[in-house]
Amino acid sequence: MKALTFENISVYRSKRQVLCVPHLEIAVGERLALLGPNGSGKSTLLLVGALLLDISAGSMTLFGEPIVNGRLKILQRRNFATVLQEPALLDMTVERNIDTVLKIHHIPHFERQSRIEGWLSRLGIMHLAKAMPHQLSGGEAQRVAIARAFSTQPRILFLDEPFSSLDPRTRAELSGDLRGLLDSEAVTTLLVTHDLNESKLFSDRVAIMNDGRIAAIGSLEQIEQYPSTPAVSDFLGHTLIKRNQLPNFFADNFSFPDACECISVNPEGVKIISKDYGINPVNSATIHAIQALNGSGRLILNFEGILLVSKIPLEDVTNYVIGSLVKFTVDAHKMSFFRHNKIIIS
Amino acid sequence: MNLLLEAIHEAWSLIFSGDREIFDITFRTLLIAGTSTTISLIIGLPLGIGLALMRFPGRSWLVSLSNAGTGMPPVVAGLFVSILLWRSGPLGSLGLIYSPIAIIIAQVVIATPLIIAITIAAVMSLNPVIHLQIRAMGANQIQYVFLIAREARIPLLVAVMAGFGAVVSEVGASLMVGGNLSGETRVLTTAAVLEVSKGRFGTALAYGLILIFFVIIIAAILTNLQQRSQRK
Amino acid sequence: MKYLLNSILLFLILFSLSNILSSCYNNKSTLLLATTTSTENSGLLDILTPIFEKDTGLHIKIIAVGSGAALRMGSRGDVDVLLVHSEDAEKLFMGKGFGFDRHHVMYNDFILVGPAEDPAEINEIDDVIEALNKIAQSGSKFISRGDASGTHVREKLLWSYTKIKSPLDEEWYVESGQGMGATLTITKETGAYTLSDRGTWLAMRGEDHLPLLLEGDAEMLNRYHVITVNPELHRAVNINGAKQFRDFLLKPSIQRLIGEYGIEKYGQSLFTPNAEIELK
Repeated sequence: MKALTFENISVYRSKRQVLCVPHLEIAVGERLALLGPNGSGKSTLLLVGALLLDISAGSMTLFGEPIVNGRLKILQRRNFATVLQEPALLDMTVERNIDTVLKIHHIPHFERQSRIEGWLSRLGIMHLAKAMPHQLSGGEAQRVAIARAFSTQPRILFLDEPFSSLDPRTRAELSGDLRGLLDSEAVTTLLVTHDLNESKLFSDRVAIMNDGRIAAIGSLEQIEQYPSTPAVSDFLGHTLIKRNQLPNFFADNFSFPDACECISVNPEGVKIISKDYGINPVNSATIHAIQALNGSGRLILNFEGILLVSKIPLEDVTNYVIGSLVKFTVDAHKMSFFRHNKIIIS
Repeated sequence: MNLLLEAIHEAWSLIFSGDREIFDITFRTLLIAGTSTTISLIIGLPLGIGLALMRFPGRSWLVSLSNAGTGMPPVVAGLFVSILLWRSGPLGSLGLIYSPIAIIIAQVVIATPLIIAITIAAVMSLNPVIHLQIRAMGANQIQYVFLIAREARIPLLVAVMAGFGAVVSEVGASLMVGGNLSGETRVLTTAAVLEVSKGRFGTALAYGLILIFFVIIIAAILTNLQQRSQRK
Repeated sequence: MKYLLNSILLFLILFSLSNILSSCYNNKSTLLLATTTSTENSGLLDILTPIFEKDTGLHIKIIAVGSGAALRMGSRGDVDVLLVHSEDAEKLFMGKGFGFDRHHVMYNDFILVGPAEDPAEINEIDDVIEALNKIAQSGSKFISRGDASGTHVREKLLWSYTKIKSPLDEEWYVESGQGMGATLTITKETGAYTLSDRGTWLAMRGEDHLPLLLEGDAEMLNRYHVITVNPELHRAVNINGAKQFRDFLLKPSIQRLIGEYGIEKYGQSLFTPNAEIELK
């Protein structure tokens, strides 16, 4: 039995199709992350899954039961807990916020009390029990939202970019705490994020979305190795080069499938070297830009007009200067080839 | 000027003389206005919340209608209700004309659009994420309405005060449908009008001063509410 | 604390609802009387009503509007009995079959009042038509009730006998559209003349009252009649109650009361009973 299944799901908004998912299954206890650029439909898919958005066509099942419209839907919704980008706390004390949702779930009085105390202390905000929402910082408010979510003992937890509005330090703290809770509660989770690293930490499986469809699904390593479409590559931060714009260096030193129209290069495959050992093809390029992103560094190299991205350790970022010349080599295994917007697997 | 001072003096002494009739009229005014406001709330609050949140064909027509209702002259409302409740009218057999219930009906007609319009504005000014979150918490329709009403409670209290203020100071409709019957449907405003027509300005002013007193209390509560919502 | 407030609120609501509902369902039979504002303002009905209710056990609701409105309501059967003083309109009313029967009750008179300075010099005159002509000639302001009331109808009739056939076209002629009390106030404030019924003028006499300038002309008699509404006009017309009210007003003891009303308060009686006179 699967926790949640989606079959031929389609959602239209003002005559435009914003979501099209032919098939998706989420296993019980699985943690799935939805990734993608803005407007890719990931939040839409999450809201559909949480029964908060109506579908134009298709069917879903929840733990084997079909999902129907009407009053039953609200009861089925009570199997879930949702944490949104904003804490969206009600205008009452922190403990009453949690009390309210527990009352909706018909939890009796004493049980409510113990759950409130339990979850507030697990999230380290017991001292804020009587505080009002406007007295809380962003991080504290989001902790309340998380406590509120867990207190209902949901069978599926939906998180829609829960840390996007927080500063990096709070984000790191809170996401660490959340991961600990998810590990101990073992609840099926659907997380929407645009942060690759976060998805890696949180989930077993990752789905990358684009234009309302799931473009790639699997573990992040699998997808990194075989990105199914150029758009997925692009989202992962790979360099995309059109075949007709390919510098000669590549054509001379690597073999490409004939039908290939587009190539992506994983930054991990572009290595900066100090000495030419003659093993791999080497060339030089000027440093166009230096970036620090998601815990690692990126050198943007200007090579014959193409901006090639190379991944370097974060600590080494300071070793380089914009405009200087460096030697680099490219690993053939880290390149992917595409034809008609689909990867060519040889 | 002399007339004014005389009238004020007479008014004060009347009010503090513990005159039975003034007390009866005041009490009746509050009772009727309070009942009307309560009924208008019970009708208007859910309607306003529904109109603010639901999308259905014809919705904008209904919203415009309710907004237009706030501008309707109370006298016109009184006329419509009269025509309905007169013996010769469709609801004449109910025998409601010239009774407190008739006044309540007219006042509900006057206050409900006001309450609906303010409720719609109040609900639409809430953070849109709140709506999603409340549904996500598993609230059913009734719980949803209650929680939203609670979130918007300060502007909604403003709606209540506005509705009460509108009906307690209304005279045209109350006169028409109530008949200003002594001991039954005479309220502060209609009593004041009667006294003016009799030329008894002191008494009329007494009623007027009591009305102003209530208006001041309402204004004070409204101001307090505004400040409380701003403090956040 | 919250529960306390909520329960007080609930109690208040229930209390008021029950209060109001009970007043509607009182078991007494109700009689609807339409009369004019000047009649009500005279205070006569305040004296008579309690006696009537005690004698008959009926509950009488008195709606005070203009004569025109009262007759209109009668014609629809919206009220049960009328006490009005608009002779021509009443005859029309009876002619159309709206009334069951009609009887004299009492009369009072109209008077001309105006500013103490009396610019039109009507104080010495006894003829009302002559006085009105002089007011017109002097261009002094004249306030009319303009509300289709009995007073207004009489006033228009009097003007029709003067040289000015339609005073509405004259700029010194102003319509107040209101009751006698308000009209008298406007008259005093603007230093104008007006036609008033004696009762309201007496009731309003204060420190700087409008002096009475002309009285006693036969054309200024104001006769009151009680008309019972034709029960065929509407199912709900309380013809029995109406008859009881009519009989009450025509009773000798009540007629005497009517004649005595005003003596104690104003030093003169406001009305003269004339029920014994046959209706022509």
